[in-house]
Formats: sequence, structure tokens, C-alpha cells
Amino acid sequence: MFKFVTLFIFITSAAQAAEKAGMPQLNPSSWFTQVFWLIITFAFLYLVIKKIVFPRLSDSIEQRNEHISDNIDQANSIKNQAEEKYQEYLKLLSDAKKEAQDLINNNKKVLLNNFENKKKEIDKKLEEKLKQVNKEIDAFKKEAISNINNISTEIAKELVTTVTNINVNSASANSIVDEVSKKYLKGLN
Amino acid sequence: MATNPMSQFEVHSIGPKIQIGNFDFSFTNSSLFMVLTVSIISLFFIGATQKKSLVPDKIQLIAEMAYEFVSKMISETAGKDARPYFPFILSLFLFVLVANLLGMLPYSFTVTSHIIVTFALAFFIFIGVTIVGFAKHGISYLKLFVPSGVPVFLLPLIIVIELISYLSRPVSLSVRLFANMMAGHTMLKVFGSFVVSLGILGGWLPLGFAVALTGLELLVAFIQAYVFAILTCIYLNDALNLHH
Repeated sequence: MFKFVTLFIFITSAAQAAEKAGMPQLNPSSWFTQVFWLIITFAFLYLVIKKIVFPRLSDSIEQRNEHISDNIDQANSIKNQAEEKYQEYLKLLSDAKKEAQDLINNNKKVLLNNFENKKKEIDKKLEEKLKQVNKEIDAFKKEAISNINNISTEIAKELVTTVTNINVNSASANSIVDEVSKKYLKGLN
Repeated sequence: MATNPMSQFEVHSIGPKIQIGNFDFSFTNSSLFMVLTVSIISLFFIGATQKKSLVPDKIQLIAEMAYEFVSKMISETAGKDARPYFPFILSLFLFVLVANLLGMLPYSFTVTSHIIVTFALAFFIFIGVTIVGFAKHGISYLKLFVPSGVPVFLLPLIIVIELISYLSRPVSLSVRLFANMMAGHTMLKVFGSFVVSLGILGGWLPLGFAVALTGLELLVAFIQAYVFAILTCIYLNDALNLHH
């Protein structure tokens, strides 16, 4: 404090000295009124700012910040909703795809089964037919062979009759033909 | 018009001289400009904040920019605890700024070019900050003068230096503003009188200087208001947070 008082005294004396040199700032006669009016005006300004300007400004700025953060929150929630909806949509899509795939697979299986069954049926029928045909062929063959013997006997009898003019009895001719044909058929077989 | 460059700083009473005892309460040109300063600020800010619209118009935007500017300044230098002093710092900044700017008008009076005005403001801040410091920290506020980590044998010297620097705060704060304002205005006046005395032939050079100086002085008017307010914040920070 002492330091301060000496400073003050120094300034005052400097003021008196400077007054003669012409610095109106250092003329103490106007000091009181200046400080007096400074206190009044500055106090008034402080009250205006504290009571009116400051609350209004901080209010409006705060309100704006709130509004902005509200809007941001809202935007975020909408964004989340959209994201959910999108996921739902993706799920729906994949479900539908799966379903379609299942349907395709099932149908394929059914069709394949049907085809398989039909094929088996037809194969069976064909086999039966084949067997029957084979049997028929066999019977026909047997018949043909026995016919051949008869025909051969007839031919042989005719031949002998025409060549030698001897009437051959059919039993002996038949036994000869049988023997020959057995020999030939053996060779063929 | 007086040619003495210092005559612009003269204080003369307007209207009746009011004297009670030894004290002079007269309304002077200085008082007039203080009233003007305060009226301009009040009217502007009350008008600007009338609507409180969500999307501000230009005037409201200027008011809000001033608010944000000071708000940022306080929170950056003095922290959260200084919030209650916001209206005071805002008033201080606006008062000094508008007083400085009003002084730039020709034939006007610069309130802040008087040492007694700036000293009264600075002294009030000094006393206020000291009271805040003692109210918040009690007697341990004196620790401000004892920096930590100083060797014991240096302490007496350091304490004296710290004390002097603390006590000279109001002087440096007030003289900085006053000297800047006075020097700038004196210089403008000197160049202005050169323009007049050199006439139409030679007056162009000092006129150019005067124009350039006017731009510089506008900048100085803003910077000095800013410095005044930010130094107040720094002192407040010392008192509130006791850094050292």
C-alpha cells in the first residue's frame, strides 16, 4: 500500500508540474467531476448489461443451442429409424430369396422324383416287353428248328425219290436228317 | 479552432457549474461523452436483443458476436469460475471500446484519453480483484506473492518484486490505455494542423498520413479495449485460481 501511496503522490506532483506544460489530463481540478460521472455512467451501463442485455443474450444463444441440439437428436433418431427399416427390408428381401430358392429346390426334387419314377416304370414295362419278346423269339426258334427237321426230311425224301427213284420211307429219312442236323447244329452252336 | 494539439483534451463544463464544498460535480464535455457512450451501448444492445429470434438478424448477430467474443476471452483466460463477472467484463470492454471509437470522430472528446478515467477503472478493478482473491482464498491469497519452487534465500527479493508488480497493475493498466489514446489523438491533431498550415500545395502528404493514422487508430481503439478487458480477466484468474 505504501508503494501505491508514494506512486499516487508522485503522479499528483507530476500532474501539477505538467499542468504548466499544458497537459489537461494532469490538471486535478477536473478529476473529481470525471470520476463522479464515470461512476454514474458506468454503474448505469453495468446495470443495463447485467439486468437486460446479458440475460437476453445468454437466453437467445442458449435457446438456439438447445434448438440445434434438439434438431440433431431428432435427425439422429430418424436416421436410426431409417437404418432399422433398411435392415428390415434387407431381411425381408433375403427371406423372400430363401423362400424362392426353397420353392425352386422342392419343385426340382418333385420333378426329379417324378421323372425317376416314370423312368423306372417305363424301364420295367420295357423289360417285361423284352422278356415276352425274347420268349416269343425262343418259341419261334424252337418251332422253326422242328419245322426245319420236317422240311429237311421232306426235301431229303423228295431228293432221294427224284434221284434214285426209290421210295424211301419217311421214318428212316427222318432219323438220318435228325442225325445230320444234330451234327450241324452242334457245329453251329 | 485552437491549434494546440493538446487542447482537444481540455475538460470544460457544459451548463451550470455545480460545486458542493470543494467538490465539483459539473457536467462537462467528458461527462457528455460518457453519457453518449453508455447510451449508444445501451440502446444498441437493448434494440439488438429485443426480438431474441432463433435466426438472428444483422444487429442481433453483432450483439451476439460481442457476447461470444467476451465469453470466449473470459473462459480462455479465467476459466469457469469467472462466469459471474461476465457482465462486468462485457460492460468494461464495451465502455472502453465505444469510448475509444467515439473519440475518433472529429471534434469529439475521448473519455479514455484522461488518465484519471482509466486510472479510476483500473483502480476499481485492482481493488475488486484483491477483494475477490481474499474472499475466495482468505489469507492464503498472499501465496500469490510466493511463487513455488523458489530457493528460500531468494524469497525476500521475489516477494518484494511480486508485490511491486502486483501493486503496479492499476498503474500499468491505466497508463497503457491513456497513453495510447492520448498519443494517437495528439499525433492526428499534429498531422491535421500540418495539413492546414501547408495548404493546398503541401498538405497532401500529411493528409495521407492522417488518413493512414486514422485507420491505425481505429485498430488501436479496438486493441486497447481488448487488452484492457483481457488483462482484467488475467487478474481475475490470479484471484480466482491462484496460479503461480
